[in-house]
Amino acid sequence: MIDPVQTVEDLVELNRQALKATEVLGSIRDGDITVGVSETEEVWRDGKTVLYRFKPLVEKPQKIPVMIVYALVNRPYMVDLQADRSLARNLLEAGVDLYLIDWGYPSPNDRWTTLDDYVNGYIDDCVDVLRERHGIDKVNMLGICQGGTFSLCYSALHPEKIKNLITMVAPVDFHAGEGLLNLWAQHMDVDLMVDALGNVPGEFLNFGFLMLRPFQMNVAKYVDFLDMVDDEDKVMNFLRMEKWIFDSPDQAGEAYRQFMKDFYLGNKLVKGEVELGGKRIDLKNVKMPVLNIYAEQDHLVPPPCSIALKDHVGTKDYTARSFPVGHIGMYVSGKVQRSLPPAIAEWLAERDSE
Amino acid sequence: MRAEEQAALLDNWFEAQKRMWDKWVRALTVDGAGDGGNGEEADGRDPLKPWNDLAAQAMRAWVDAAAPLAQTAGDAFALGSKRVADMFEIWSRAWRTGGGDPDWSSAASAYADQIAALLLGLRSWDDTRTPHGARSFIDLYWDWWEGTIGRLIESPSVGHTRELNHAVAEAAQAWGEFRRAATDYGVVVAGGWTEAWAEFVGALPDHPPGSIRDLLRLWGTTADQVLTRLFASQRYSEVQGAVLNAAMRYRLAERKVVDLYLRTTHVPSRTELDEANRAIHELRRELRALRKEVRR
Repeated sequence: MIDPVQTVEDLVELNRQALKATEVLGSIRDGDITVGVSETEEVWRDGKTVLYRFKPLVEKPQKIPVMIVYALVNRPYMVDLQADRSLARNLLEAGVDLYLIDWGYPSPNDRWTTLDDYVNGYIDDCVDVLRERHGIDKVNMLGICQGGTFSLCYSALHPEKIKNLITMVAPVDFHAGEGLLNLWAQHMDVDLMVDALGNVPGEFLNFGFLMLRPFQMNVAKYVDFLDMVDDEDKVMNFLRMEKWIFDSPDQAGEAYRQFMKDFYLGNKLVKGEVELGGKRIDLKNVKMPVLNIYAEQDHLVPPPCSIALKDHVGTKDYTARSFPVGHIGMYVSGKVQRSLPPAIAEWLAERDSE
Repeated sequence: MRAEEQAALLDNWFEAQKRMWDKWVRALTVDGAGDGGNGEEADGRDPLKPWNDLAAQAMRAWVDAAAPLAQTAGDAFALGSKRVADMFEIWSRAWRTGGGDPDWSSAASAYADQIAALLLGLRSWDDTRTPHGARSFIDLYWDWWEGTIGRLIESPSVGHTRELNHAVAEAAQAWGEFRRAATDYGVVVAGGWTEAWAEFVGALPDHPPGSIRDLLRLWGTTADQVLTRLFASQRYSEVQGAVLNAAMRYRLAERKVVDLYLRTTHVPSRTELDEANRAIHELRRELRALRKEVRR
């Protein structure tokens, strides 16, 4: 049982940690929390969508560049969060020539932006930019989470432009796992929400994510933070994650409407019933080599949702890799960062010839 | 501070809480003359007596004038609060005696059932579909509203404010539906927290915490498990969806009112901006398509 004397000692320590936390946090400015550590240059822009190129870290990167397509739901600097936990940096060091689409922050101006605009508009424009810059017909694409779903749609519609496709923690069969988000979505009137709100607030989506583990994400995490206050590196790592977690863009209304109704609720992607720009998406058209990476403890995109890809693509060169981490761990776990980027680079190098 | 002093501090604190609740419950049975409803004399030296008398009179007026169900709910609420104090006393006594006596696992379950039964008139937390307890209590208010002011607002209007009145009436109705849905949601979530508490207290004998951090960790793990189980239930999903959808319907109704009002000013409305943005968006799509054609 709890010893009263030990309790008092624990409370004294807790107070010390709380005071130290106040002192540490008081000495840090929000601008000190730097994210996106690798050097980038803007190569193309349309409205709020920007295509960045990461500065290569090797003398001769791989011939065919890789374009990262991130989700709309969070900010893409998660792939380059900090020096020792940067998927982007590790890929650069492994010799990959890397680009990234930054979707920006949709405003009420973007309320009518559709999935067709994202996939056949922005992604296609960015792919053409890469093709022109590098004098090639096809590029490599790395789609992350919802960006992976978009990449699949794009590759199915424009297979002639994609050399190799990598999907990471990407939902394909939205009804395969028992995710809470899937269950909750069934009782939401998506049309009503978009008609009422226009763009769906990022805070709303964040609330849903936090409620997946209510006590851990809203209370325990901050209590545990007190144990880190004596380590400046850990404090900064924590603050970076906090910045990313709560940096949630709004979702363009029409894109959200179609994604929720067709993908989440209707599960139309695996049924071959999704239409973008008047064209039906048939995953059997994905005939280029595919590397499908998923997280074994993913509570946001349950593994079965990603694993299902194998049964729907038309490629004969299909590889699956999994890691014993959660959804976010795929980007920030030190262990994964040691093995995942070299695995990607090696897989691409084997398929780098024109 | 020594262990005996800490124990004395805890004893005094719980005794004070118990006395306070005793006074409140007794105050509810005291009539205007100051005599105890159970034959005991009121304490003339009690500085809270005038306040207790006033509270008792107010409670009596409120409860007596209300429907029988409201009286029952009011009495049940007071009794439920006393149960809370009793529960804390049981818990602290068990904690101080090392958890061996009394059987606080059963006490925790009984407490959860008492709250469900007394406060909400339910047999179990799954039984939230029945029109009893807190939901009926709140429905009394809405029934009164709909029978009086609400009815007046909903009747057809005449004159140049007709459209505005109609929009306001729809917004008021949507607001009422949102509040009802929010209450249903709150009831289900409250059930989850109570169940989490009961499971936590029930788990303590098998997982005796060695420190406050262990206690907090056990509470966090238990709460997350219970709440995740609740969130994965059809019932929770339904009430969450219902409150969200009701909020959106209210939002749309509110927007109609605002749009009508803004027509009298020089300020553009959200609807007008949406129309403008849609036109811009269509133009941008055309431009993008033309650019692609030119590049080809």
